[in-house]
Amino acid sequence: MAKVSFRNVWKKYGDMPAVKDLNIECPDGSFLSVLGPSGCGKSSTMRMVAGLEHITSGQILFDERPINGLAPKDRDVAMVFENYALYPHKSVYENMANPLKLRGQDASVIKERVTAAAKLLEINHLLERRPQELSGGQKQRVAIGRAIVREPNLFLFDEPIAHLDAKLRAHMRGEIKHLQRTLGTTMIYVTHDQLEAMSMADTIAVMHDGELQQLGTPREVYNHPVNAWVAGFVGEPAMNFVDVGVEDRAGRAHFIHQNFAVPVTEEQQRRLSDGSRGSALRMGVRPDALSISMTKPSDSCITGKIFVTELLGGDMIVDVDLDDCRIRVKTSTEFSGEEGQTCYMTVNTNKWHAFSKENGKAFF
Amino acid sequence: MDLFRVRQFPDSVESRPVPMSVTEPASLNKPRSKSFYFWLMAPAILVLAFISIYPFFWMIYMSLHDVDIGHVEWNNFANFIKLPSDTRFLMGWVLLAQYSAMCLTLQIVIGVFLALALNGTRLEKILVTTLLMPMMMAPLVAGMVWYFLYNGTFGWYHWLLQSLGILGPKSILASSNTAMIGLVLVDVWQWTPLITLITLAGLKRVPQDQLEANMVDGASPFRNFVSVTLPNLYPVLLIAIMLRFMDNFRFIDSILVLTGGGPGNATKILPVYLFEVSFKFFKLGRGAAIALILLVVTIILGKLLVRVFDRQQPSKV
Repeated sequence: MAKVSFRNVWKKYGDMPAVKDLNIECPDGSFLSVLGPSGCGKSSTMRMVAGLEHITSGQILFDERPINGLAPKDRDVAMVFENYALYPHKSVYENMANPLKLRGQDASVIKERVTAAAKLLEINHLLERRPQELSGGQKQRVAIGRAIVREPNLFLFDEPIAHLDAKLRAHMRGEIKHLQRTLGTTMIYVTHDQLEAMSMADTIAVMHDGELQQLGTPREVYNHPVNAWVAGFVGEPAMNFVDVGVEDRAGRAHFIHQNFAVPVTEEQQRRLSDGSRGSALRMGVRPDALSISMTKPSDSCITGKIFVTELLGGDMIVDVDLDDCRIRVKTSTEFSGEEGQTCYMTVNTNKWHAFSKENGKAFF
Repeated sequence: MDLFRVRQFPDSVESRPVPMSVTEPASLNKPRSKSFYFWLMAPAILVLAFISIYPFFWMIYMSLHDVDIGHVEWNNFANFIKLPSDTRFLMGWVLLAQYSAMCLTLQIVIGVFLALALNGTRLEKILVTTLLMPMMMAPLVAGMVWYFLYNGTFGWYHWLLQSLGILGPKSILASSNTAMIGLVLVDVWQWTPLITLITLAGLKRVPQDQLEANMVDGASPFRNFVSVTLPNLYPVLLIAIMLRFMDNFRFIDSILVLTGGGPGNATKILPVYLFEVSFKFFKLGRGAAIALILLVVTIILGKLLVRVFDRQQPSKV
């Protein structure tokens, strides 16, 4: 087990930077999820940790010990690949025994450890099979089994459950989180699925275009995104963005839009005055921070027209047309609005966000 | 201006009976009767029978008879019975085994090594093309080229090896100790590129993620080669071995040009002996008997290789 630190890490392919000046501290025993869309540099980051990719500049340290020059086999990490990368000519047992065998362990130790890992992952009845006789979920368990048979410094999981079907994926999220808690080994988990990152990680590193956007707990990233990009990427359904103006009315700043004028809170007013007062802003509000009704609750509400309603079983998503954009609202299934009708939405002002229109930085 | 009209959904949809088709629709993949395919293939079968099947049976017929011009006589398996006591026939097998084993070993080792060295380099394409040139040469021409290089009076290799003190005054092909090596070198020169080419193709499909997984698991580059690359190369290598050993059993063009089986009988591998018996001594019956045995052995060895190949392939379920 180890603490992992990235210090000013760069990765360039030719002149193309894939990872730009990355600084992350991942404490011993914690679960770090690197989250970002494809091409954001998250896989390059992981491959640099594993030693499969050369570090262009900067340092990666395990327990303050730089590992830049070490070969993959000397880094003592265990990795699970997106496509599982099982050896097709070896049985499940041999696949899982491989890391121990390569490290010269005794046959009795190997047997004990592989059996224990197989039991933990509930694949002990598959040990004699070949990988091509397994289902996707089973292959993925074998790949994880190969990683946990020894006690490495660090687990590296590269989108390990991306190829499973939705139901199995939900199941494996819980399993992997539980496994990491049980073993207590530091884990870096790369994914493009914000749900996976939110539900499993202690810390999320959100990356975009090779740059670290935000590093924080799932709550921080969800409730206090540092910029509009993070706010839009994290959360499902995605955050609504509405361009608004700011105006002082009776000593309180209001967000002004054709469809509404809503006052901000005192705390928010203070934050706004530090930034650019009066200029155009982008208001961000998550679908669950809006409540919708067919009767007008107050003057400071948003008026819109229902475009379509989607029933998701437990709750309902309502798409509402404003004059210049369309927003989505999450509500209960009791909501009875019909398409084309006028509706009214109230914002939970404690849960909304304001971003600069120029650079996307969050005011609150 | 309305791009989309609002669709009106009627309360009830009128139900119409589905018309039963009287004639079956023309289906693209409807299986046809076997005889239809037979007639399609008949011309090809006829040609094949004429150029391949007829000579095969004619060979079996000849192997059981004394064959002379205008005279064929049944001889109670004498062609086969005499063979075990024919020392040149037996020696032919030994020499063929030596020749084939040396050629295959050198070609596989050098070919795989070259492929590994070339794989992924910047000059891979141009170097592979250059390497392929010997393969495109007719074996007879290759034999002639090497005949000149080996020549005792003006051969460049002969001169080089002699200047280095490796070779005595006798030329490479004239000494019974070195003649076989001379022949093997020609075969290796001409056919190693084929192995390189096949191996390169095989290397391209070695899964990168398995190599990386094994590296993270703790494998050294050599272990990685042995435990991931090589198992993935087995199928292509077995095909290469099969092709080459069958060629060794058949192609004697360059040998005929270079030594003709000499000096003495030092390079008279079985196919050369067979050629001699049939077309120099015109003992066509005996030649046919030898050819038949050679064919059967080739088929058996080929079958064995295929069986190894099947076992190497992971079982499919």
